[in-house]
This record gives sequence, structure tokens and C-alpha cells, in this order.
Amino acid sequence: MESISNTRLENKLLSSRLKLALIFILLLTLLLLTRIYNLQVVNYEYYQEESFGNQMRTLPITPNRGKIFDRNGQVLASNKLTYQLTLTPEKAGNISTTLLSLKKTGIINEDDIKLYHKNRKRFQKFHNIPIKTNLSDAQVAEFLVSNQFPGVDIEPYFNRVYPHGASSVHAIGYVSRMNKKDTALYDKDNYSGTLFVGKVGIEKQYESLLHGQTGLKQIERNVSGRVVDTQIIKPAMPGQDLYLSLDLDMQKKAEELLKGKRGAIVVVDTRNGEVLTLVSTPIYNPNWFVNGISHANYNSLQSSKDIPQLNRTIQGLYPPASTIKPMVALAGLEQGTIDIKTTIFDRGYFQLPGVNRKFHNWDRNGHGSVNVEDAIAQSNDVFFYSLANKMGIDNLHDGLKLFRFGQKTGIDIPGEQGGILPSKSWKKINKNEPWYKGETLNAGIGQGFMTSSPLQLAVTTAAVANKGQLFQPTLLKNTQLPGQSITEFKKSDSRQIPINNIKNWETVIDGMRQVVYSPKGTARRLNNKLTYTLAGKTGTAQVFGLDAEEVYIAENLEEKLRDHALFTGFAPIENPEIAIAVVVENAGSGSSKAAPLARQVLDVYFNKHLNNELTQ
Amino acid sequence: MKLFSIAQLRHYWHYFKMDTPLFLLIMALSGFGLVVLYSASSESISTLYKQVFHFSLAISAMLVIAQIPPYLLRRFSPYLMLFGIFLLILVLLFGSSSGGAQRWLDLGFMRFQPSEIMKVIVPIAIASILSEKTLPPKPLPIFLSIASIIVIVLLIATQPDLGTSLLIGASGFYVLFFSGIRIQILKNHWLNFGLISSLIASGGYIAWNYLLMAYQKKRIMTLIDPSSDPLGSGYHILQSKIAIGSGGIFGKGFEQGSQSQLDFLPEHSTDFIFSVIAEELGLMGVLFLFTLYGLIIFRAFVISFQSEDNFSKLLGASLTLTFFTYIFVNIGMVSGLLPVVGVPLPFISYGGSSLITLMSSFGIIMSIRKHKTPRYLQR
Repeated sequence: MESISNTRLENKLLSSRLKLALIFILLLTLLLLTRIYNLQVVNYEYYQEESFGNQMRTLPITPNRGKIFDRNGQVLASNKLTYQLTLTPEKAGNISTTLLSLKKTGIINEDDIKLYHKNRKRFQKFHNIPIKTNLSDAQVAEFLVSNQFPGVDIEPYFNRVYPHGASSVHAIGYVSRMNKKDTALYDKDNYSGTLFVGKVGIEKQYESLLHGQTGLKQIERNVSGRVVDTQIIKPAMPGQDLYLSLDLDMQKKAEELLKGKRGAIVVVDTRNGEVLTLVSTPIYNPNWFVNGISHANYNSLQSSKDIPQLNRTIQGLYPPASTIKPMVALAGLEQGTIDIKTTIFDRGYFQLPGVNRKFHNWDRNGHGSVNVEDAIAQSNDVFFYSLANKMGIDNLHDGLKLFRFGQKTGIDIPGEQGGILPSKSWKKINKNEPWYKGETLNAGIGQGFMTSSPLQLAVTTAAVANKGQLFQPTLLKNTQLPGQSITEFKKSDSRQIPINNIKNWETVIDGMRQVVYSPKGTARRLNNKLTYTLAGKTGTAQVFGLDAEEVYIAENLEEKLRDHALFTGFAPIENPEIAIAVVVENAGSGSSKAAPLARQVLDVYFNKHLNNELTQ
Repeated sequence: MKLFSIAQLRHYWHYFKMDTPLFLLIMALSGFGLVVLYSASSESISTLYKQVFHFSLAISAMLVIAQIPPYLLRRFSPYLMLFGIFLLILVLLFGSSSGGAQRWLDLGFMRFQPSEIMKVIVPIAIASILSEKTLPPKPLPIFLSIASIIVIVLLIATQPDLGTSLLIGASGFYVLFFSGIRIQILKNHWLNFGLISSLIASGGYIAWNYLLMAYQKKRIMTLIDPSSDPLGSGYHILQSKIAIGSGGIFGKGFEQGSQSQLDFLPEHSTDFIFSVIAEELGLMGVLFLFTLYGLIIFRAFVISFQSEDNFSKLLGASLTLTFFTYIFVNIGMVSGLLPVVGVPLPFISYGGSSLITLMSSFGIIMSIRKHKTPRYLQR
């Protein structure tokens, strides 16, 4: 009996404990299910994104930069497959120690490390950030054999190369690594993988065309960062190829002629404003800059007294000297101050009434009786002193302003300087001084305050040749998207200078023709065996103001104080095709030091074109 | 009479002790486990073969143990206990260490983890002690049980293997729980509850400050905020939570779990295999798993309480509750509810020794079902 009641009691006890255990199990199971429901249903989107973020990385595909060609299809800038050393911060444990170990292997140096840290801020931690670009084949091979650094890779990329080295550097410019300033300038997304941007010249001006559109790829990686799969979300759009109006042969000729000198030669097509030659010397090698310029090279550029990085064609401001005389003559003729028959008598100097100072002709013997044509042909200073004096500075200013002196031409490379076209108000504002009459005389022969760039001289000379049609000079002729046909870039703007009497223009052009063809012409030596007709104007710009009675003797002066030699011209005279401006710094007289250079450059052009015509 | 006639086979079957529903459920779960393992091990056929081998070994052990009548276990329980303690001491003295812990005995041909068999021996011994007299037990057997549990927990904890020692301790205390003991220090229920709670709390405080190793503390700390240390210990929990959460309701598809297939999930064929199920099969897969587990637990409880002697009831119920505890601790751990203690998911995780222990306990439950208790033991 006792045993039975005991059994009953025990069963009651056990089943109550079983119930408790079941409740315990149910509660804990509910807890687990709540947790899993919370993870899988409530926070599903969050964890889905986290899991996606774990494996997927979106990386930029850097587009291939467009190439640059000259007008004949010669390559001026292109891309070469090269290798770079990269470090992905996310994959490398400690970046500083990795970089230090890399330094010990000798593949990189302290500068590379500094640059890497500077660069890093632009990138995300999963980007493969370059440490050192443009590795040699030997470096690549050596590194691949011994690489034990996690996150450090050798990767191919396209390096910018300028196959002709220093040639045409001032027109093309160069690319270099992006710096902080560039980062602010360009779209962050589109430049997320970009290493190089144009810094000067065409490379900078047409950065947006050359760069192209950065693509996107998605890589799937495992936990160790190895790429398991790559998918292209958006393909990169390569940059456009640019065809410049430059003629590489003329460029090289001009560079050869100016070798060892400081100077500039600009040739423009009078019919459309295309720039065929844009040479400034000294030239320097743009390839130096692409992967970061070395200290030695940088110092050599910076310390050079010749300032190689100055683009003299657009930034070099020189007194135009006598090359401005055709435009001054046109201003006087068109304004009616003189006519084509007006003559003056040159005794070798000009004097303002009531002033003792003599303004000498370059030829102190004087040219006797000269009209406007003679004055241009012989570059008679006294004629232009007299003309300028009659016009007064404000009329002279207004006449020259029609040729856009003192303003930028608007050429499509950055950094252009406009020069100075002085006037009374200009002097008041800039010098806070009244205008003196003697300064008008100086302005009349392109001296004094007046400055202009070689490009301006070429462009205005073309306008004279065109009888008043003034073009905005351009370098970019055509563009081409890879795989598509060449398309013409926009035509350059031009405007017509108002003409009072076309005879005036013809007279001035005839004066310029006489510069070359008249026995008294200052550039008469040029007409020897000319295969085309050429009109021009020489100029000799004073750098150093001599006292009125002093005689200029080059040998007595320091090289830097000697005169600049100038020449402007166009050819052929009847149906002008090209206009040229030559400036050689501190070389002496324009007729002997600048005019012959112009002839040789023009010869290249006409030889080519005559040959073409013969073959056609 | 032929040896293998149908009638003869029926005759053998009659003597062959096995619970068919439980066996089928376990086979279903194991099959599911193998399929999941195939995906979790990145389609490794050799892993699958090894696990099939483990299964055959474990199922054989289960079927052999099912033939042993429970009273025999009860009779030999003191010797089993002494043998177990002896092995644990051997581990402490001569055990081979791995990863900072000394848990194995090297027998030359195989490595053997004595704490594994203690998972079965402890409930047998405690059930045997407590079912000696009528229930609820008297103070002396209670004291004896608690003392032996503490000795074993401490022996295993010093290896150190805190997770296993706590689970084994729990399996012993489950027997005490089912035996109906009541700790009555104070008359008032609420005061009594308060006192016991504060005793446990102070025990926890002492354990935290004096007993736990640095790595154990770190595991518990990262549980509280896994993202604080994403590449350290918290990283595993974080990746596991991402795997589970990103599975959603229907999962990413079989073999499509990026977290596990791309190795973001640690230990994905062993301790963290639940996250693979949750990632690839979603909430649906989880519910399917829970259903199978629930049916097994339900069946095991039914068997335990239909048995005729207290020893069998206590042993069966505590083994079942221990089985649930493993499931809870594993899933709690991979879902970030509990610290990472290294408990495999029963029947699913890759590995031989835990599988054999597990199948052995189900062997015991089957033996409870099929063996009639000798009359002299019935109460």
C-alpha cells in the first residue's frame, strides 16, 4: 500500500517536473525563434546589405586617355602599357610597416612613401592605390619572384608617353599626378581611379575630352580578398583622340632654328585661324612630369635663367616694335589722319614742337621723303612718330584695339597673357600718371608701354593679310572617339574689322610686300629663290632704354639687354594661306636674326604644299 | 529451420531493441545534416565520406547500447564514474594539448576526449544515486550527487574547457531537477528564491574574477558588443549574424550562401553550421530543423516517462533535456545570444566524437523503451 502511494506521489512529482522542463524548453525555443526572426525578417535588409558589402566591392575602371595627333596624324601623345606597384590598405595589415619593408627591398624610396600617404586620402580603403608607377621590366620580375606582402600587387596600367620628347611641349603640355587642386577641380566619381590629369597645354585645356568616362566594375572577393568574380557594371568610355592643327614638321623645324635661343615662332592659317606652329624655346621633356618629376630635373627647370616652362608664344610679352607699323599705318589711313599719298621728310630724327629731345630714326642718316608704303618697307621711324603724334594716343589706341591688341586672342590652351595696349586711362589706372606726348611717339613704333605676345602678332598679321578678318586662333582641329569617324571640332570664330577704304589695306599690304621685294626693304634678303610670294615686317625691340644721344652697339651690352629680333609676315600675298610671327630674345636686329628663321619655316610649309599639288 | 527465413528474421527482430520512430527521425535529421554539410564544406566529397563514416560508427554505437538493459548501466554506474574520473585525471597529467587546452588522451592509434564520455556517464551516475530510494531524494544522496558533479566540473574546467564542463554539470543538475529536489533554506518561497539567486550571483562574480581565463572573458565581452572588435573574437559573431540575417525567409539557395561559400563565416562546417542553414535555406530551413529537433525531443520525453522505473525516467529525461541544451547553446551562440563556447550543433556539425556521444545517449533512450525492467526493481 505504501509502495503504491509512493509510486503515485513520485509520478505526480515527475510529471510536474516534466511540465516545468517543457515550459523551460518552450520558452528558450521561443527566445531562439524571436532572435532568428529578428535577424532574418526584421533586420533582413540590413544584414543582406552587410553580406553584400562583405563580398562585393565596386571599383572604378579607368578609361584610356585619348591620344593627341598633329594635323597629319603623327602621334604627339599616346599611352603605353606599363606596370605599377599598388597597395590596398584593406588587405595590408599595417600600411606603415608594409611600406617600410618594401623600402628595405629597395623597390621604393622615402619619396614614394610620402607620396603614397598623400595620395591615399583620395581613395577608399579597398582601392589598389599606386605606390610606384612606371616600373621597369626588371623591377617587375624581381618583385614578382619575392613578393610576400599581403595587399601589395603589380598591376598593369597605361602610362602617358610623348614619343617626340620635348618637341611641341608648350602646345601639348603634359599630364602629371593629380594633386589637391586637381581633385577639387574634377568630378570625384569620374576621377575616382584616375592617376594623371593634364597640367598645362592641350592636355589641360581638353582634359574633359581626353579623359573619357570612368566605368564601374564589381568584384566579388572571398575573405582573404582574392577576387573570385568580376562583373562590369558600366564599361569605361575611352577619351577622345585629338587632332591638332599643328604640323609636326614645321614644329621641329622651328625648334631646330631656335635651338639654344630664347624665342618663339607662331604660324597661323590666315583662312581659318588654325595654328600650325606654336614653338617656344627652350623646350623641356614632358615625359619627366608624368610619373612625378625628379628633384634633379625639377631643379634644372627651376634654376634655368631661360625659364623653359614659360610658354613664350602666349605668355612672352614683348614690345612689338616695328612689326606694329602696318597696323598703325592702317589706323592712320582708315581714320583719315593720313592718306596713301601723304609724305613726310625724314632728316634722321623727329622732334616734338618746343622739346629738345630728338626721336631718332633707326637709320640716323634719314630716309628723306617717304610715303606710307616706303615707311613700312624701310621701317621708317620718323614717319610713324609723326603719324602717331598727329593721331594722338587715344586715336592710336582705338585703331589698334580693332586688332585686339592688349586682349587675349582666346587660343585654346590655358595661361595666355593679353599684353598691353596703352592709353591715357590705362596709364592713369596702372601708373597713376598723366600721359606724355613722347610716349605717344614710342607707342607709334611699338615701343614703350606697349607689349604683345608672338601669337598676337601672328594673328593680327593674318588679319592684315585677310583685309580685316580677324580669327580666334585654335589648336584643336578634329576629335575622334575610338572606333568612330573623325569629326570636326567647332570652327573658330572670326570677326571683320570695319573697312573704310579697301585701298588703304592694299597699300599697307603693298608696303609689307616691299619689305621683302623692294631693294630698300628691310627683309630684302628673303626674296632670294622664293617659290612663293611673301609679305612681312621686321622689328627690333629695345629692351634697354638708351639715352637719346647714345648709340646702340650690341657688343657693348650684356646679352640680356640686347634687342629682341622680330619678324611678322604672310604668304602668298595674293591668296594668303599662312601668317607667321618670329621673336628671338636678345638676338639683335629683326631683319638679320628673325626674318631668315621665318623664311625657313615657311619653306617647310610651301615645299609640302607645292609637292602635294604636284602629286595631285 | 533456416537461419535467415522471414520467420527467423522476425524472431531476431523481436529481440533487437530499437525505437523505430526515434530511429527514423534521427536518420532524417542526419540526412539533412549531410546535405547541409555538403554545401557548408564547399562540396567536399571527402568531408562527406568521413562524416558518413562517423555516422555509421555512431549509429552502430547507438544500436549496440540500445541492446544493453538500463539496470545493467545502473548497476555498473559507480565503476563507470570512477573510470571516468580516472581518465580525467590522466588527461590532466598526460593529456596532449592543442590550442592552449589539454583535452585529449593520445592512445597511439587515436585521440580520445574523456570529457565526451562524461556527458553520458554523469547522468547515469547521478540518476543511479538518486533513484536508490523513493523520490524526492533525501539529503545524503543529494549531497553525494552535488559533490560528484562539482568534482567532475572542476576537473574538466581546469583543462580548461569551460563550455563542456558547464554542459556536463548541467546534465547532472537536470537529474536532480527531475528527481524533484527542492532547495528549501527559508520558509518563504520568495525569500528562498531571492537567497538562491543571490548565491548564484555571488558565485558568478567569483567565477568571473578568479576562475575565468582571459580568452573566456573576452568571448563574453564581445558577445555584448561584437562590432567593437570586428577582426577579433567579435568578428566571428558578426559574420555569423550577417549570414543568418541575410538568409531572410527563404534563404539564398542551396550552395548559394556567400557568407559561408566565400569563407566570411568561420568554422562553417562545424560549430557555425547553423548559420549556413539559416543563410542558404532561410527561416524555412530553420523551422524545418526546429521541427525535427522538436519531434525527437518529444519522442524521447514520451519514452522516458513511459518507462517503469525511476532510474530510467530520470536518465531519459535528463539526457533529453541535455540534448535540447546543446541545441540551444549552439544556436544561441551563433546568433549572438550566448558567448562562443564551442558546442557543435547536434547531428549536423561535422565531427565524430560528439556524434558518438550523442548517438550513445539516444541508444540509452531506445534501451529504456524496449527493455522491461526486472520486477524486483520496479516500484
